[in-house]
Amino acid sequence: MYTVPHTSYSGATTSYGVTVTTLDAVTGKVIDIHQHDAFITSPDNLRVVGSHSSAPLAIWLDKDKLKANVLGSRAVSTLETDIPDSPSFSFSVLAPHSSTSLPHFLVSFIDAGSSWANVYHINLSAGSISRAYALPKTPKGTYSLAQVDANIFFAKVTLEFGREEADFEVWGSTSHARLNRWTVPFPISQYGLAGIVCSFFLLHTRFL
Amino acid sequence: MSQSVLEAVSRDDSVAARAMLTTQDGSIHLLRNSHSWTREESLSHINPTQTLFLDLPVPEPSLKIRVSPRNILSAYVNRVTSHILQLRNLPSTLARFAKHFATGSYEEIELGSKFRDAFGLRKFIIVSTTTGKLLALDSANGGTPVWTKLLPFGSKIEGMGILRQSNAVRGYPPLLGVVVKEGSLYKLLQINGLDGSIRDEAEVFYSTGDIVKLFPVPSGLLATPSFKEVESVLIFEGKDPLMYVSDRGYAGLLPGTCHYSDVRAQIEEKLYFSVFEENAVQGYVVHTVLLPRVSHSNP
Repeated sequence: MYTVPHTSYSGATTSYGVTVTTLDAVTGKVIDIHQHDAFITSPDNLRVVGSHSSAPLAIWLDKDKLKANVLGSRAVSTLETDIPDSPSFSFSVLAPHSSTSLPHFLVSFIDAGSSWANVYHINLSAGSISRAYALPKTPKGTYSLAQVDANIFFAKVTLEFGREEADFEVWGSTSHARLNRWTVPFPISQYGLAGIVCSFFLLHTRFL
Repeated sequence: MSQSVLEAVSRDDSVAARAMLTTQDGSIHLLRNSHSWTREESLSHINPTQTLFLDLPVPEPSLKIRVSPRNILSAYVNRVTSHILQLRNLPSTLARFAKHFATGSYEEIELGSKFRDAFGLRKFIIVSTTTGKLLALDSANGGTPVWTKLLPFGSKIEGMGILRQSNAVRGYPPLLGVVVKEGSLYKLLQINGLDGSIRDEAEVFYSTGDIVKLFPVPSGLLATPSFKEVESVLIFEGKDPLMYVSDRGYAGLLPGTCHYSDVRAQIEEKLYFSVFEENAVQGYVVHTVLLPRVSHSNP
């Protein structure tokens, strides 16, 4: 069974909705179409993550609230967080890609000069999503996720101009205790901050 | 979309991790508890049209020639002793020559040095990237970056030219002229071609459209310098002017602080250049001296 969320343009207004379509993987026939009650100003405000995991997610920014739907269910949860009123604000989501992983995910936020993140746990039986802990607000950094067996780890690498070193911090998804922190010499004046150079450039590795 | 990926290994309470990340210039880094390695993937973003080949300076002789001004006899003695000193190197020189002659390699280039080889084949290839970075690659060393310079983020490199060649003036390093656009502001950076340090940074007072071309004024166009001009060459520290052309057809000379009135007089009706326009390459000639305007010629 495939479940395909997509934004749908809702006629006269300049907003978009979220429609989840469920397809039969063998025949390609549509099994179900469900339209969520959503108000999205731009398709960029929808994230779909966690394919192959026990809880694939659609997460969208609905006015000043962050809403989430576990694909396959009809329930829409509001994620507990503060959304600043800033034009440079954006969010992204990191979730595991394995069905054996814990159903935990991280939402990171960026505004003009800083970044912060929340870790959420999904209760699969109850279908609810709760905030487990928050990672501190710091100068702009980049977040990443690693899955080890069922466990999930999150890391943040912070690069700052005027400092020739990088902060590299690691947390586990289950508790807010920071597992490790390294301060690594890094010539930022030579390479710049963490950033994506072109939109089609995806860093995807498989460590051996 | 993520700018980094993570791998973690946990044992009991402790966790070991490594992360790979990309930075604004396009390079890729692996971080562990120490910075492990970097790949200059920024080279995949170069502007091919802006490549420069920089000649390297000739090394200064290591053995200073001693001149004795006092009398002929002591000058003669000095000269004979210095010849004897130089003769000591003769056997090794002959042996090296024989070896080169036999093996076919004409010279070993010292890779750490920044000097030219006997035939001037070794050059620094200066490239700029769309991510606002300059790199100097050593042609004798498989293109290994010698120096890199990241300009403030968001600045766009509009053009580059060699402002002063190596050995143009003794004791002065080669200079690159780099025109950079920061927001709506144009800047001329004068960069030392041997180590990438910024020697001078000046705003280009300019409001006649976007710069579409930047090129050095060919030295062959400029007449043999008169005594006055030799003087002015010394004032300008041996810099050749660069000409910029805007999309509205204006042209001017850089650096702006130099008054190249003589140069303007000499390039009138003689300097041709081409500009890539919407769907064709168009040729132009510089025709006005006072007002540095540019007009059509037959392409």
